[in-house]
Amino acid sequence: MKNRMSFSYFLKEGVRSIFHHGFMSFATVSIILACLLMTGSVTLLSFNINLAIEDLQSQSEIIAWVDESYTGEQARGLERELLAMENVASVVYESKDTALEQFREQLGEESRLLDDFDSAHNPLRDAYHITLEDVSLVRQTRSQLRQLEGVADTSSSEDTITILLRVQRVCQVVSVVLVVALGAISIFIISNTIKLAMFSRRDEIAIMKMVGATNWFIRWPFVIEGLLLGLVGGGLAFFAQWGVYIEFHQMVNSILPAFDMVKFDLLRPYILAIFLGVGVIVGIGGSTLSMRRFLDV
Amino acid sequence: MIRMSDVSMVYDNGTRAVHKATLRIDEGEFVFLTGSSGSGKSTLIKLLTGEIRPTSGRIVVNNYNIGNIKKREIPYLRRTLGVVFQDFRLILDKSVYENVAFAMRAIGVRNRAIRKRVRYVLELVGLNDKMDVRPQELSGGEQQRVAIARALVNNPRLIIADEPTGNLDPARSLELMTLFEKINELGTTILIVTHEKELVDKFEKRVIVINNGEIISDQTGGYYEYEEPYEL
Repeated sequence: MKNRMSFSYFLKEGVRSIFHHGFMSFATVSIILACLLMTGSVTLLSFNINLAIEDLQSQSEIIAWVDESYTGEQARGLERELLAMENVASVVYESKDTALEQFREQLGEESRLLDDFDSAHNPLRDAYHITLEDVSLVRQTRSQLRQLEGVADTSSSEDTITILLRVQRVCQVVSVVLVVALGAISIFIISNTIKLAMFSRRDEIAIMKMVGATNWFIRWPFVIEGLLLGLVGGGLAFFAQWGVYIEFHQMVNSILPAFDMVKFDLLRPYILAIFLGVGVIVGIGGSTLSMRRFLDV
Repeated sequence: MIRMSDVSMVYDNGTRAVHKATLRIDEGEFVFLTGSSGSGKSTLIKLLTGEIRPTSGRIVVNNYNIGNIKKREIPYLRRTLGVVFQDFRLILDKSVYENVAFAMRAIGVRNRAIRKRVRYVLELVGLNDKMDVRPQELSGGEQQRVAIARALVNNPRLIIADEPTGNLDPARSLELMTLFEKINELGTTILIVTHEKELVDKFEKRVIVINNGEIISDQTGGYYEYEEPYEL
């Protein structure tokens, strides 16, 4: 009964203090929101790139482009030689006409860009899609393929993986910097908000100390204030992240249809939990940092 | 209640505030502690409330040894004390009732108990008709009564009043002292720090005189002189 009474008192005092320093509270929530949104966005981008890399790695496909001077029949003739090569599991032939057709389908409404091309004027090449028995030997197999007569060029997801890895590394560095810098800023702002709250109530605190309130009894309303600010900041950041992610997803889908991002619905519970958790940690951490000076009465 | 033996207090800057003070105040006593400004009265109060620790000597207040009291025990020492200050130290944006109730809330007392006790204490100090008034709307004497009610509300064994009449006219000061006397009759030990000679003279109580950090006189009867302090 006593604890319940105390909790409602702490909660009431915490909420009162939030509104008493409305502007600082607003600034605190905003900074937590901004920090979480920025860090969250970069981390989610990194997460999606990681998935793309894993997906590409699992596909382990090499495309061998057939020399342009080869006729269709000659090109098809390469299949036996390819199958005879080491580490080649299977090959699928794709004529340049089929490739053009597929490209047209991919472009959809924009396919009119290819109106000037047909089987007589086809800039594409016949190609083989080669799957490997051992993905780790992709480099060796590629160089062997390049030496094969009739193969003009090769490409594999390895190139894309290299680019993605570079982007991912940048994302990781950026997210670490953001977590550290913005985390420190959030804690600084929140600790100042609480410091201000404590300063304006220093007389009350002195009286509380004089009548025998324990330090924790005095601290709780401020801890709750920090916790509530953190929760509100984290909650708002979650909704903002939701909106930003969906917008970004749509944008990526239209520009890079091949880059398959994870749907937000699948991430929702995790992001909510992480954002609220970080909000709570930053809120409580920031508020407890600023208390010591006011409690030495 | 209070036991001090050979208590000295020297601040970090070298100021000797209290020197080998020895005194004993028992349950139910009414004591005046007097002395001029800078004589060490405030330091003595700080020692009694656990704000500072003595440099040497032994000081026990309500069974708490101030010399080696743990930080977490200080709130519990203070719950056995009620402190009244010259400047009242009321929270101006709270009503009289809230100011007094605040002291009970601060130690986690239930609302129902608070309501009952605050009404009783405000009645005792004669302010039951001003519960909803804010401190600024009260006279100095009334504000000090609120402070006394706040000091009394947690039922302390000892009330320490630091110059409680310092901001009041003689008539209000006398009223306030009479109130302290009434509280003392109800069983609470009272220690009043003052340098108002006339006031002390009116009450035939025990008077402890401190000068330059040393207790130079301790006797019952009320009368004292700064210029010619009693010899021990």
